[in-house]
Amino acid sequence: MPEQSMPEQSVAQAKTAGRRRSWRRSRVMRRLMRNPAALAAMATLVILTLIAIFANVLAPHDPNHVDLQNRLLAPGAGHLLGTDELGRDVLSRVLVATRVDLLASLQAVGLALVVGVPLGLLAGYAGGVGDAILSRIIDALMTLPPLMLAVVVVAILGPGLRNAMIAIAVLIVPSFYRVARGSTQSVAGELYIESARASGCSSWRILWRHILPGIAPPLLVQISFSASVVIVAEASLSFLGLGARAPQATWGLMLQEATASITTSSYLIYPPIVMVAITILAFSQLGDGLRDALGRQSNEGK
Amino acid sequence: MTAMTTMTERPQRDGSRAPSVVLRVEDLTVEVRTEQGTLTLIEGVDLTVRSDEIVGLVGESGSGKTVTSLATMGLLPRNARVSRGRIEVAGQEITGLPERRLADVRGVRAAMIFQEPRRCLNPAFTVGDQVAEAIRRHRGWSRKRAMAHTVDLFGLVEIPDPERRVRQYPHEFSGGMCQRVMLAMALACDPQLLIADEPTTALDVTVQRQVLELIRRLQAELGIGVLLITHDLGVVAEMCDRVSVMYAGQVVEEADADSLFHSPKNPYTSALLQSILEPTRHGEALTYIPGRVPPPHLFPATCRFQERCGFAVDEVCGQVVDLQPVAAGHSSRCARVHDLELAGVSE
Repeated sequence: MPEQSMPEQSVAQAKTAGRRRSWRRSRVMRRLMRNPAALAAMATLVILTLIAIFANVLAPHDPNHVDLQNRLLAPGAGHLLGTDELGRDVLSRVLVATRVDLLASLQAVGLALVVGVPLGLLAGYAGGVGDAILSRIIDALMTLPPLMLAVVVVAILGPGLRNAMIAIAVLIVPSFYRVARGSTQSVAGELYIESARASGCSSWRILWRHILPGIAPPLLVQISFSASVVIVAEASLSFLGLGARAPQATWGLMLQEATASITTSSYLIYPPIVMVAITILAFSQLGDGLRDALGRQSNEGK
Repeated sequence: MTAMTTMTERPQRDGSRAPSVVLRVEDLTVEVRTEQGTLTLIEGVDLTVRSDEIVGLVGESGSGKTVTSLATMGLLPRNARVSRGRIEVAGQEITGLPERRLADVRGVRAAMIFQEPRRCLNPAFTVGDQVAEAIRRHRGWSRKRAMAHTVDLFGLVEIPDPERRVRQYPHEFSGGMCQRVMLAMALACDPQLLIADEPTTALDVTVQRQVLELIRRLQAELGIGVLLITHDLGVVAEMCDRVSVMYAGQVVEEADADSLFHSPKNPYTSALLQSILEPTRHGEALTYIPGRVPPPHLFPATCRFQERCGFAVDEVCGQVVDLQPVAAGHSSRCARVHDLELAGVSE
């Protein structure tokens, strides 16, 4: 950014930036706080994040410690959620898997964001032939069956959690592109953009200063929804053996291992399923709440 | 007052300087590509603005006023282009300039203010930020210096308590105050030409007058040429030195304001003048021009006003008419210009 060059400005700049942010944040936060579902979703996500950070401390056992004498123990005092086929503690594995899953979805969403948003911004603002070609490619990408696309990407890159996340990022890039492009087009039609052009703002500056802040709200909503999609996609790919590899613990992989002994020890499938369900519910509820809170015409009773 | 100090500090800016031509538009023709093919929106427009005058550009909706002003700033939408003619802003040819170079012209040589000032300000930033941004973009000043200059500019456009007001958001400003902010932004880099596109149409009548007074004062003090685009002839009478009347994409009459109002030479101008509402004509039937401006794809090759004109005679008017001089500095586009006695405003 050209505006961050001189040290003497930084204080004033921080002040203005702070004021600007607090004005928006306060209004959005107030609306979010009044929405019980969104509030519960945020609380859930905070707890999940804490679990992810402190997984090693919270886990009662080493999640990868194989103990064949104690395989397939039912939930009980020693192992709260029982042990799996190799005698590993299920509770510990579920906790550690939280970290792996959240980090992985962060990667996938981040990658999709970094690729999709700039492309969408440019296509929406510049329009013309470039936009037409890019949009056709993205449309074509969206018509492919998602699972098959992911399988192809994994086949090219090889299996493993990171490659699975790249595959998922490819899957969700189109949604970020579309949201960014559509919102850019509507913001670019605002009179204040034309007036900024009339006062001699360069295109880059208009994109960075005026349009990006304008399209942030719908992107935020999209991020939240995408995160839930990624969690499900990761579970599916790992379940199919295309994602995480043993002995890594992810919810999808745990589910796959649990199905092997589903007739004898059905309790094994519940922990990963419950975690996946809670997480996607939290992300999509937060997305809903954000959409309502950021909506312009939301009726704010005063 | 702080504003006054900056006024005197400003280099090369005072009304006493010899007037120069700040806008020269010659034979401007703008085409737009649509699904129905290429349409000509404005054709052969000539316009000159000097640094010591306010020139009015008048016409009904759809007459091409706004297209003319946008072309002048190089702000035409993507599907429109200048197909003929040239535009010179403060000595700089605009047509054919790449976007990057245009951005250097806008704001520095020419600035523009629009009809709905509130919608011209980004609601997410303080007004001071937005004005300062324009200054920093063109002058490369530090944020602090640009902000100090913004406060001065707010004083110049008579916004009370500028130190406090620069830190407020657009929603905290009235329409008139927003237009003052837009003026401050327009003047930020000492442009030589100000294009005001219906600057007061969206404002209250009392506020309208204040803003117009301000524009006139700034014009005289800073020696800026002003192109005032409006459909309000009352505003024109009060503000302008010279007037160009547009109809259906062409200039149909051009004159100094006095001649235009008292002895119009074009039936269209005369009809417009007759439809001004005047309190003294209380009780009389309202006069208006029947019909409306034809859309661009129905522009006739001959006189474009013919079918709405009360003086049209088929044998004479069914031909292509050019803008022809009728007196010194006064020209009109009418085939019957020499045998018509047209009514102006009665004093």
